[in-house]
Amino acid sequence: MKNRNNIIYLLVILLFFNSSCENYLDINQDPNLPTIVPAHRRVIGAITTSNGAAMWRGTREVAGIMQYATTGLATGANRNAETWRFTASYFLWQNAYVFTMPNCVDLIVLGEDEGNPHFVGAGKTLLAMNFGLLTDQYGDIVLDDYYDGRSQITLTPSFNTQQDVYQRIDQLLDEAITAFQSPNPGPSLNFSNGDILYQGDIQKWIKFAWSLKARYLNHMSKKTSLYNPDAILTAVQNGFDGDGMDAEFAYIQGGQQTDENPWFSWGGFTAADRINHRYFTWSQFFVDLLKHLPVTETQYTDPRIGIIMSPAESDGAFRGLKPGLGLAGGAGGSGEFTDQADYGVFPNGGFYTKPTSPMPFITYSELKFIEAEAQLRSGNAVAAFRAYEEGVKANMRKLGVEAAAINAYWIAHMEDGADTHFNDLTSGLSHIMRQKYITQVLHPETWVDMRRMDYSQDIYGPSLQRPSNINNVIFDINDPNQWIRAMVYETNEQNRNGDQIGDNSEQYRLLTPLWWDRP
Amino acid sequence: MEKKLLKFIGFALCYCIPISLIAQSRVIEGTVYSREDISPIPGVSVYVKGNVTQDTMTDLDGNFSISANSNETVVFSFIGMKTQEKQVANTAEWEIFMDMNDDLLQEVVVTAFGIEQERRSLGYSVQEIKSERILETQQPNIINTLQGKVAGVQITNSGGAPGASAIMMIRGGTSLSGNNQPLYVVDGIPIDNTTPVGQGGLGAATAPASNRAIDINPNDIASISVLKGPAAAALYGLRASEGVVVITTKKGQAGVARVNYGNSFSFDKVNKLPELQSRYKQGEFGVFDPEAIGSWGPVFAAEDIVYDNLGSIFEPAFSQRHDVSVSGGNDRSTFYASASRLDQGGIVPNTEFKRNSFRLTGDTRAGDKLRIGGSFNYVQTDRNYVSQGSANGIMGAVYWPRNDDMRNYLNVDGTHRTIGVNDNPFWGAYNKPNASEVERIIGTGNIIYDPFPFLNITYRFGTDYYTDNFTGIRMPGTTIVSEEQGAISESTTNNQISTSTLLVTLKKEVNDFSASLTLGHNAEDFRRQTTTWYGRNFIDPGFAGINNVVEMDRTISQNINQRRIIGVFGDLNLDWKNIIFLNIRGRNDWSSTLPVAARSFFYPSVSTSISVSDLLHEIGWATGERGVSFGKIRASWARVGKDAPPHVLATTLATATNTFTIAPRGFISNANDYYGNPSLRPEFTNSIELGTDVRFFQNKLGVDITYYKTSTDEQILGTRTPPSSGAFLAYLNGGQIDNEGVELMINTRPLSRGDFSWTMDFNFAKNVATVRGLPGTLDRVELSDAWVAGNVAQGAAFLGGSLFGINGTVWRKNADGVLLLNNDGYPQVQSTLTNIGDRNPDWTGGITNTLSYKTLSLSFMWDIRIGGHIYNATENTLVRSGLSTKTTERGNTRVFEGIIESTGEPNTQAVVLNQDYYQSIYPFQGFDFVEDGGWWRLRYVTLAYNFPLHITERLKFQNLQVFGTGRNLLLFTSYSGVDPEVSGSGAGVGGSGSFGFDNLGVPATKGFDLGIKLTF
Repeated sequence: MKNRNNIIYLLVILLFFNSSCENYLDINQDPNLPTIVPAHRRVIGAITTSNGAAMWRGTREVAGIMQYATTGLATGANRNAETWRFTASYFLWQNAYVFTMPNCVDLIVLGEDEGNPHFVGAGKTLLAMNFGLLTDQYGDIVLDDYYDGRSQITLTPSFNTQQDVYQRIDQLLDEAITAFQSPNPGPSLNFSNGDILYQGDIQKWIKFAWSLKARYLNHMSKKTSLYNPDAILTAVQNGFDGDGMDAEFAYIQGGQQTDENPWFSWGGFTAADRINHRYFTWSQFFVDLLKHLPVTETQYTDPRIGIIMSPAESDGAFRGLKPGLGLAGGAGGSGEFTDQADYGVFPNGGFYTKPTSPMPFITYSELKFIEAEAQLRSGNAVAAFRAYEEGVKANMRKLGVEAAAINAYWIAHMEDGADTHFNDLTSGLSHIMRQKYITQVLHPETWVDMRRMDYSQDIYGPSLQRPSNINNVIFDINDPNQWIRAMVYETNEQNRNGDQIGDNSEQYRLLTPLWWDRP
Repeated sequence: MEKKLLKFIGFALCYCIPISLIAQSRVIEGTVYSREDISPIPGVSVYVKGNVTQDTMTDLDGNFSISANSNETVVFSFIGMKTQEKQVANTAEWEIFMDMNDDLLQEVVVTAFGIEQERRSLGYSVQEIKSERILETQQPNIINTLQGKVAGVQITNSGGAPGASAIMMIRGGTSLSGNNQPLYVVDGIPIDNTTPVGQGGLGAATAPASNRAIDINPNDIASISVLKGPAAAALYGLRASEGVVVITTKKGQAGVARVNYGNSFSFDKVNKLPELQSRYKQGEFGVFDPEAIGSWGPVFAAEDIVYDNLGSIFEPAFSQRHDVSVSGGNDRSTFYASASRLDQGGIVPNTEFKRNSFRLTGDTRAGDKLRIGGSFNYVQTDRNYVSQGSANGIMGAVYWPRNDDMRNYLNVDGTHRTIGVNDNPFWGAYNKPNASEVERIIGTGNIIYDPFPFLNITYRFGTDYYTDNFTGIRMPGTTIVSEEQGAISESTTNNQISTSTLLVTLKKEVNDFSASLTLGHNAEDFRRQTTTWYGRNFIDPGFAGINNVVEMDRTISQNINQRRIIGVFGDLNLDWKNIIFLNIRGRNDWSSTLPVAARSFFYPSVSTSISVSDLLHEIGWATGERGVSFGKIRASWARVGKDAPPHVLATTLATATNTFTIAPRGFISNANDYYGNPSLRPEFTNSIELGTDVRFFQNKLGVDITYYKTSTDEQILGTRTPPSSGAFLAYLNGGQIDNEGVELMINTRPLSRGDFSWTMDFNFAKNVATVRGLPGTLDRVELSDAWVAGNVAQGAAFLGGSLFGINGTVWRKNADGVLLLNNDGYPQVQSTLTNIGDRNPDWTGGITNTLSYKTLSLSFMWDIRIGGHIYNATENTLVRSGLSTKTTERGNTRVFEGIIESTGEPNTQAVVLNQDYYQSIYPFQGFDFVEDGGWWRLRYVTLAYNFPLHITERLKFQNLQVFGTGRNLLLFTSYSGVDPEVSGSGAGVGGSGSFGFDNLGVPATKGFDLGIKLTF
């Protein structure tokens, strides 16, 4: 009997050991890094990564396609972008999906959990914009199966059609606007100085969301059944209505290298010899746009040229290279001017490539050109021209062009018959798209416009030509009208999610127009 | 421990068995000693062969006296020892030396928690190696002492640097991304065997660390049991899923204090080096250029000196080891104390490994029912090593032109003399040192209480704590980009494992049945904290230290890992007449690393063993011995659970991102770390094992065969995910790995006559580890830690293929396997990697021979590894530098057989195999650098001589032994490079590991040792 008591006593001790074990085991919270912080501490990261991860990586190579900038070397990896040698090693995909968008989704989820709708609104606005950036380069993308911040990640996410994505973008922006209009009982967006776009000014966020709505609705210009200029104009009316509210923030000089504008330094511009820079100088096409008026091709040098570009060290002239030929190809591929000093330097060479230059998400000027296009397509030439004028002048004001120079430019413009050109759709679009090109320097949105315009010389002028040394494996060197239409999905997606991705051959991906790019 | 127990049994038998002596014609008197330490053995059964009435036993001093006729044979038999026979001759005084029966057939082995179990009762395979067999290998790293000795255990030392890590894998591996190495347990206390994957921010290939079991002094070990499968390991819980190495240390023995001293002096040199071309000297495109690093210049002239730069970096190494131990005690208390000093030199300048170890073990009886014991071990391990793994490391001679003497590493002004963009390896050896200083304490305490004959209560507590201070220095003058002004990488790691174990054992015997039940409770606490700091740009170029850089140039980071496990378990043993055994075990673990809802999990095991020969005898079907002296069959089914790594249930936030995007200015999702998974579940490994153990001809031949199959599914896997999931890396449950294999052990005594005996042990094993499933649509799991130079190959597990594959680049071919050539007619490298090799050997084996004559013994062991690929990244680098013999075809033209990709036409163009081809085309494919890495090697041969007693007594010693050992003296391999025992990034790489990657590491050595052992 005594023995049995001993055994029971021991079993009781064993049980006692385990009943106290629950606390003993609660040590699995990561001691090295936080796993959750309040929403207001996540705002800044969602903004910075949307800009410096997603948008930057969505334009780093596309700048070559858009023919803003050109490389100096006639060989090497940098030239591959401007000669359309794109492969599955183009990395916007991961920079948007992994480095950026989880921060937008987390902002939504935290805003919902904390009961502060303004964070939901900011998250949804930025998320919609990033989905837009992705779908405009890839077409069908992962949407429904993407990270939602609540459930487990999906191992083989399925893709949604681009039409689905566009509906979702519009829906997200509507929801964002509603959220912004709701009372926000907790800390404000800028509680910890994280709202580097608008410092907590919710009215500006609302205008930002409306402006994005206008941009994505306007992409439907080839879809006659879906294109709705009234909806665009409604969105424009609710969007930016003046200077000083562009969605942008300044980069920082003097901190880490990744605090600086990537066009200035760490994005491929730190080599001692400037010939090795990712981009050596601007293209002759861009120079030509700044030296000629649309439609008539009358020579008139845009007052912005010396603000955007720096002149050649040798003679102070502005000239550019032809994509694909490098410095050896000379000015515009002419073979003349093959000295480095004959070209203005790209980094730190102007308004967009200084260490602190912002990379705007969307501007008042862009919105005015969207309005002009919608009015023009609606047959309202006068209203279109009015919006166009404001778009041009707003950009000039932003770049610091003096009022006298703006007036002089505008007078020349009018004397050249600009307003009358708006009676013709193509001529009007030529004005709008060329001026929009100048407004949207290095912005990936320009690639959307060029595809919507089918890279037409009627729109962009005779200077727009396919690059030399084009990727002849994919592109027909004898067909000057065959242009690049989309990007190849990333190798990591192909290797890990190959069943969902469809035909990812360069042949198919680079040549096949996206849904909105087809009638 | 074991021998002490045996002696105790012997002591008991002395008084229990009636001694009958019948007077005969001749009385023989003598003493029986253990050959291992020349200590007398009490209780040895001594009898005359064929005359059962004539038997006696040795007394407490090992003395015996027996009567026999002159033509008769006297037999000496003792449990755990090899039986000896001796013909009666004229000698009146006999000295008998008995050998430990450390072959496969020994009777008692240590299994879980230090419990000794009869081998015949075990339903699974366990192999035990005794001290003598451990020490005769002369290996400082205890893991290496087991090389070739245990069937199904693959041990790969990662190179010839002193203190290099060794990898042990038992029966393949079960984990795609995690740890595949066994748990190490010393006297019932788990100890740490971490190999850090890189320290101080330096990569694993650059500064591969030691595995921390290297701190254990082999001389303190009495025996090592290797528990191979989950059935054997189940009681140790989840950390035993890859098997357990159970180490039992030496304990004190009652009697007069005895002092042992041993030493050894060792000489080593590099074992094998690749052949380099000596035809072309420094230059570019056939033209001599003294600035060029490549050997693409003109042909050496007859009068030119061709330097052996690769050979010159290696020097003979000298090592010495001294061990002192004292053991003693009385019938209530015993103690064992030891001190050891190892000073191991390296074959590369400025490398060494030093280990000072002190150990004290004591055990005392308080009353009849209580025993209290404890041990304390203090180890100090200092290691100096040099950077490796790239052309900037010690093997940088693979780049050095042979017309230049690399040994001139200083310019006249004392600055670094180098060529090209890499450091001179000699300069690096003296100016880029790495050092690791470890101080370690392992303490244990135990209380054993036997209140009743049927009840035993044991409580044991132990802790293993160490601090590892790592320093890696690059002195100013290095060519490393951004570190030209000097740099220092340092880290401090504090690592502690504390374990508490309570065991309650009940025993009951009813008629022919006996039963024992053990109930246990186990708690383990693990914590590891590493602080890493880095500084560059030394203010004073002559001093290396973190305070010698300005604050802007310093970075610091910290990493903490914590894990706690609680387990309760039961272990029920039943047997019938010691013939049929049944064992049922169950364990429930609670782990801190799993979600609360899934943190508790249970797993059972069942095993049985049937002694068929005894059973047949028992039921009267077999009589007499005939050929088969013993036969047993065994079977087991087991399941073992495993938890997650610490802190992986939630996704962390970071304030930094990669260098290709923006500084986020605040918290963002940590894309560089694994995506957290709050719904992880424990993973389980299921195994079955069948085996038989048959002995023939009075145990002269034993054959033990085991078949096993394990399957691990729903693994906790750290894997890559498609970017559109929102993460690159995530932990999830998925994937299945099957291991299937056979193990064969043959133990023979071909000859045993009088004073001469010869034993030969064979072991063979074959294991196939197959990846049966991977999550999602993954077709491989890549290991970025096992990348090698040039990024053309890495370790990877392939779906439907091997766990130990090589993922590498190949030529671009069409579906028919025809080369797709570029417009110039050169082959092109395919952009995606593919499976180019399998590092898993076809089979492994070992043959150990021991011959002894009187007190002279000779042991030698062949270590065999057949098949298994090696990726030769060293050769790949040699091709790039122009020193590979593969580049002597340079200048020749070749028409590659294939089609021009752009036209589809068959190729007819001849191309020149020039420097461009060898530097920018050929080395970018990996397939041609995959070689067979198998070997036959004479791992060691040891000759030992114990001086006869009449000499040692005159010298006032109890025993005096001299020995000589040769290590790695013979190596037969078709591998073209260094010794094929390689591991590119050391033992720390998880999953399929980095063995089989020859990546510019310090090559393995061969050498010999001389030493003595003394007992006072």
